[in-house]
Parts: sequence; C-alpha cells; structure tokens
Amino acid sequence: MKIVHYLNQFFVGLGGEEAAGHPPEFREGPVGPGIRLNELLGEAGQVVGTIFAGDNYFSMNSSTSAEVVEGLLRALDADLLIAGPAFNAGRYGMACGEVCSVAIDRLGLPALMAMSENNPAVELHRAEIPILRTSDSTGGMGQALEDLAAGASSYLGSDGGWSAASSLLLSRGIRLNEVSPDRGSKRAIDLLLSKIEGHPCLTEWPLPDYDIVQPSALEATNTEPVLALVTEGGLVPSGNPDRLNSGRADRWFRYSVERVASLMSEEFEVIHGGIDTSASNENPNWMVPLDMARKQEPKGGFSLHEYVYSTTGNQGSMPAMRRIGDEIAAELHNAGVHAVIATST
Amino acid sequence: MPLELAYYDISKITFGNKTYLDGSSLVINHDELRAHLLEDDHFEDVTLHVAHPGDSLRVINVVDAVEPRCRLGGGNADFPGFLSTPQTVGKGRTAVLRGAAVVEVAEPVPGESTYWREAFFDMTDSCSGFSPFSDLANLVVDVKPAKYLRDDTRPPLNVFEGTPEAVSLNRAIRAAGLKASVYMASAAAGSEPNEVATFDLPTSPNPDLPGVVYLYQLSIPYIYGEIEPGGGAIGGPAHLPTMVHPNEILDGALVCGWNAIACMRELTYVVQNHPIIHDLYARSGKDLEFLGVVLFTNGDTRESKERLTGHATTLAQLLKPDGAIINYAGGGHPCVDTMMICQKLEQSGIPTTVLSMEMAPNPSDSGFVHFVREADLIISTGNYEESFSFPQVDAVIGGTSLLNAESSPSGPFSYPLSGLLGSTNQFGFTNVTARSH
Amino acid sequence: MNQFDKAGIPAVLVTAIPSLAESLGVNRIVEGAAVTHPTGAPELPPAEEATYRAKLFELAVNCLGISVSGPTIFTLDGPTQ
Repeated sequence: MKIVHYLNQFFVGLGGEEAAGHPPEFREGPVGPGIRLNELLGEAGQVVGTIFAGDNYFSMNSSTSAEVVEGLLRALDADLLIAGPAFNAGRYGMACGEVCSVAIDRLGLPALMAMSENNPAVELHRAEIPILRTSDSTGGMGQALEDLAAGASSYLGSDGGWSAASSLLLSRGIRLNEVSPDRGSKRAIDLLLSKIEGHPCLTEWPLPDYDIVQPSALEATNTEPVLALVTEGGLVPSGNPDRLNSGRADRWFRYSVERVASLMSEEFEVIHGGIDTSASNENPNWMVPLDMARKQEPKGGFSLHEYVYSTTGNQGSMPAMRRIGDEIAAELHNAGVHAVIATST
Repeated sequence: MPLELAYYDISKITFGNKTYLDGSSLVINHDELRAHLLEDDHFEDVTLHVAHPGDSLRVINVVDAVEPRCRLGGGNADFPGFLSTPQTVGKGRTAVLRGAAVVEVAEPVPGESTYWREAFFDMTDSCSGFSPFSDLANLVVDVKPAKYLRDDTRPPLNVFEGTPEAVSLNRAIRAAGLKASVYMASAAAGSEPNEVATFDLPTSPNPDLPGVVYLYQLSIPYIYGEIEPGGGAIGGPAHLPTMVHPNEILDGALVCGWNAIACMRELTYVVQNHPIIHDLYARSGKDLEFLGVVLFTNGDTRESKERLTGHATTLAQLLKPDGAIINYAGGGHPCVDTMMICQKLEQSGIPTTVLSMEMAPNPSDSGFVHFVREADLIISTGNYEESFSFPQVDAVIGGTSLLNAESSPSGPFSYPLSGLLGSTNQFGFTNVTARSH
Repeated sequence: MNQFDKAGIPAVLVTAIPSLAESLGVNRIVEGAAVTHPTGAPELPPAEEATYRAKLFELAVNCLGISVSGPTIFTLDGPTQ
C-alpha cells in the first residue's frame, strides 16, 4: 500500500519562521519523522513520498494552494495520505486540514491527520477528517508515530473504515441520526423507572462540557484593587483594524483606554455578528461600561486597568473560548489585575 | 366513565359511489366528500388523492394530519370547538380507522407565514422509520384557496401568524381535515371493531408502584377550539399551566394550531395517538401508575418563565409523583421553560427525564438552546439538522415547489430532517434518535 | 469567565441571560439590561438611564467583594439564590 506523508517546513529541516512561506514541494520516500513512521508501518504500507510546505503558505495563497496540492497528490496515485503530527501548532494543523480536505474532496483519497485536541484545526475539520489524538508538544512524537502507524495499518487492513482505529481518534463531534429499536416515549419511561430505582443510566444526549470552578475571593491588597473590563461583545476601534472575527472568534485583542473617559461612537464600534448592534454602536458604553467605571473610580475603591479586552462570543466553540479565556486570564494575572467585570450578549 | 377507542384496521383507501368499510378497505364517495369540504367559502377547489406505502409519491406543503375518527353515540362531540360546541370529551366510545390518515395540503398564499410550510414525506421506503405517514393509507386533501386569498399581496404583520385572512384560511384548512376525518370514520358505524382499548386513570394507585406524571409542553395547539397561548405565537401572552384528563387529549380536544417546523409539528394525528400518554397507560398498574398530565406553554420574559414553571411544578407535585417526564416542544427559548421545570422538580426530589429534539449542525454547536445540570437523562428524538437524500419520485401532491430546496420537488434532493413530517417528534412517536460520532 | 476564577481573579459577568451563564458555571452573574446592550437602557429617558447604569455598575463592583459558593445571580433587586 502506498502512503504519502505531509509535513511542514520545520520537520523536513528547512528551518522555522524564515522558511514559513515555502511553497509545496515533493520528495521521494520518507523524510524526518516519516522515516520512523515508515519503519513502524512495516508490511502494512510504505511511505512513497513526502509533500511539505511552509506553515504560512496556505493562508498566504488560499486561492491557488488547493490546485498545487492537488497536482502533487494526483501524480502519486497513493492509497492513503497521512498529515502531521502537528501537535498544538495552529498553522501547521490548519495546513494539515487543507491538504487532507483536498485529498478527500477532490481526489477521493482517504486521509488521516494527527494533532492535539487543542489544535484550532480540530474544530474546523473534525466532522470530515479522521484526526488521530496526540500530545500538545513534540515530546509526544514517539507515541504519535506509533499510533499513526497503528491507525493507518488498521485502516489499510479494513474494508475502508476507521472504526477499528476509533480508540486512537478524536470524536467527530457530530450527532447523527439512527433508528432505535424502541420509540422515544418508551425509552423515556424505561430510563425514568431506572432513575427512580437508583440504577445508573446513560443520557442519550450528553450536556455540553462545562467547568465547575471554585469562585475566587478578592485578594487583600494594600493599594486599591485593579479592575479590568472584558467583553465578548466584539468591541473594536472603529474600522476594526485588527480584524477581530464577528463570529467563531479565534482571537482576542486589548485596547488601551488609559486617560479615556468614555467610549465614543466615533472611536469604537461593536462588530458582534449575532446581534443587532445598532444600540451598542450608538453608545459603546452600553456594551463595555467604561464611562461608569471612570465615574465611580475616584470613590469606588478600585482603580481601572489600562486596557479593555475584547473578543466575540458569537458562535464561539467551547475549546476556542476556553483558550481565549486562559490567555486573557494569564495576561491579567501577570499585569497584577485583581478583578474583572465582563459583559456578554 | 372511561374512554373506549374502537379500532377498525385499514390498509387501503379507494374511491367509489358510496362510503363504506369493505374489510380493511375504506371506500369513499368521492363526490359527496368533496362537496362536503367545498361548503367552506375559503376554498375555490378541493382535490382528493390517495397515497399508499410503496407509491412513488411525495406529499409536500403539508398543513396537518388527522386520524379518521368519530364519536359513536352520546351526541355530536367530534373535535369540540371546531366541529361541535366545546363540550368535554374523553368519555364514551370513539371509532378509529387505525392505519389511515387524512393529510391536508395547500400551496402557501401570500400574506401567510410561509417559512415553516416546508413539510413533506414520501410514500417510497426512503422515509421508512422516519416519517409516520409513509406507512399509512392516506387521504390527501389538496386545497386551492379562494381567489381573494391567493391574490392578497399584503405582507404578514407577524411572521409567525400572517394576515388575519391567512390565519382564517389556515384554520379552515385544518377544519377541512377534521371534517374528512369524521366523514370517513362514520363509515365504521355498525361494523365490528378489530379491537377495543379502554383508557382510564387509576382510582386508587398501587403505592408499591412508582407514580409518574407527564408535563406536556404545548406548541401552540387549539384546545377546545381556542388557540394557546394567546395570540397563537411563540412569545404570545403566556397562560398559567393547567391540567386536563389525558383522555381529553386522546379524544380530539387538541388540534394542531400552527405550522411549526415539520419534524416537530404538533400534528393532530400524533396528539390523538400521543405516544407518552399511550405508553404510560399501557404500563399503568404493571410497572408504574399513571397519575396525570400537566399542560404548559412557555413564558416570554424571565418573570413569566419563573411564574409559569413554578406553577407547572406545583401542579405536578399535587399529584405526588415519584417521577416525571417532560417534553420540549421545540422553537428555541421554550427550552428554557422545560429545563427550568426539570430543575425545579429535581430540586424537590422528583426524578425526571426530558425528551428533546436536537439542533446540532456542526461540532462547534452543541445543539442545546439551554440546559440545566439536572437534565442528566435526556431522550434524543433526533438531530433535525442532519441532511438526508430523498430520491426522485413519479408524482408530487401539494404544489409545484419546495420553498428551500433548489431542485424540483420530485427530486432527487438533499434536505435536513427538519422538513420531514413528524420525524423528530417531541413526544418520541418515532424511533429516530441521534448519537455522537 | 471561569478561566478568570481559575486564575484566582474574581470576575463578574453582566449578561441579559443569567440562567445561561448559571448553567455554564459562572460564579458571579449580574443581570444586565438586554442581549444587544447589556450595560445600557436606551429606552429610558437620559437621566433615568444614567442612574440605572450607575446602579448596575455599582452592583457589579460590589458583588466582586461578596463571597459566593457557586453560581449566584445578582439583580438590582438583590441576589437570587
């Protein structure tokens, strides 16, 4: 069985950021981690070639990249594409997703990619591309290659399904319909009677993940506590210079409000894509209450942090929102902020 | 006095010169029924079709579906509030043509809320197990609205309702289905039923069996001819929850009131055969005791949701249940009411299960409108965002176009389960469910 | 929100849908004015509007100093639960 492997510029030895714009290229046989992967595959398959590109190539050449990759893949007539492992590297993960999508959608070539569940490419592609679970960092390379070899072998030995490898894969995150032996009303009664009797029962629809976090208390300080304003309402300077997403946000920004008394509609706007923003655009303080904070600052027993923090919650995925929250929290912690007032739509 | 449903099993509907039962075939006097339905001056014309399992046929633009039934003896009390005065039903004997349905279809008129009219099912086996009507002998009543209704170009004032004329037409189309239902079932008078089932609540529940109450979230039905909640729209003024005898629900007190999304539309047929009520009755005295039904709608503000869910919980508690079943009616924020009741019941020590359809289009969207931690046992009645392929069929009844499918209604096309009539029914009428992959 | 608490920084969320925040485990919740403008009430006359917003912000600041044991909703009428 013929396997083609996709890697980024770093893992084929071209370098780091300086080579991040490198266009897709092909080399015969395995390269870098592909050499070990090829050994582990043994009789199951052979890495016949390696395609690689710089991490920034795909975002910089979005209109032509698919054609270029398609051309390289077509010349190979492989049985399977393996991309990664990309661990938690976001741009590398996105590139793996692009290459696998081209293989599956344009050539009907099966593809498998490997990365950490926290890689931003996971949310985008998990429904369509099988994704093998790895650690966050390259320290898990050995395990990732063993798992990739095992997953690829089980696929190549099957009649075209990934079910035998499912313990190595991330869930697709989708809900598909099927016909149950019993109708819903009977199942509802059966489950209720089990619950009344105290038997353990399984819900048919698990609740979304949420954290139970112990509330923090305000730290005692000698000076007035520093308070930061945060929003998921999509507040940006007029014109949205940093291009914050209006939905499915993957980023956050901080904007200086040092010596700013109030958010003026000429200077700030709200770009949240899920709500009618006319009121908040008329008065951005209705989304982020800076003017009230300034008014109450002298007597309120707090001093205001020099930045406001903004992202967009509209259609946000839980992992992305959690990451954004962690990043803002880390910055606030380092900046010595004691408390947060956040607003949400 | 209990309710007796006398079942007459039907597998075929044909047209003839008089209306009668011929074994498991129902023969309908086509011209007489058509003239009967044309008495309503909302209609310019009415066309009658039959649709049987296996036909290469698609029925589109469905308004409602009704099981053919009529009351036997005890005065005229068919579909009270519609075809008779709003007198209480749920006692005595009612004839049921089991295996048959009346399906009303009509192309949308300008001025009506058309968005949720996207409602269809196939008689081919492509819908088998997914739409209840694919397996029935259906009489399809195809209504052509009067010219003044078709020519009305005013936009609807309220997207959920439409103009007053369109609302009036909508009610008339539903009434036509009810009339056809009674007309057909009247043919059973004098024949021997295949089965008689008796329905009654326990007079003295066995204390050794768990008592179960059902909290029924309504999706804007007519109750004894009056629409609930007021205004006939999600967000209409919320009425306090109430209790009715479950037999009233089985015997025609509730009629589908609006064109909700097809997969979760509160179809009259499904309410007449309400699966939770039927299944609770079937097991009452065996492994549970069926204590009763609380009806509730949804609040439109935080305060009214608080008031409404508190009262529904109180009514349920008055029945001293050991457990409760709640359904979510669909439509978005009514989910908050369902979940609040679940939370309040659980917090007062009453275990609950919740039936809910899912709206999960992709991995970023969990499909939940709202949830509480107490909702730890949810019965999924299916994910209505998943698309399915529907084949090409020889004939289409009910109009010339599907609103949201770009291709011809005769197919083939791909469409989310949301358009398939009754598929993710919120009472668990079908065997459809969704699972994580 | 929970990320702030996790990092030891008490946080309050001003939102028009407190029950949703509650179900997500947010510990300090202040009921805001509306989904589209959580900290403003454009329908009120300007003077009343300013008073409303001042009170809302004061409430948010104050509940940062109140010790809670789990998700708690604060409204201008006082905490519920």
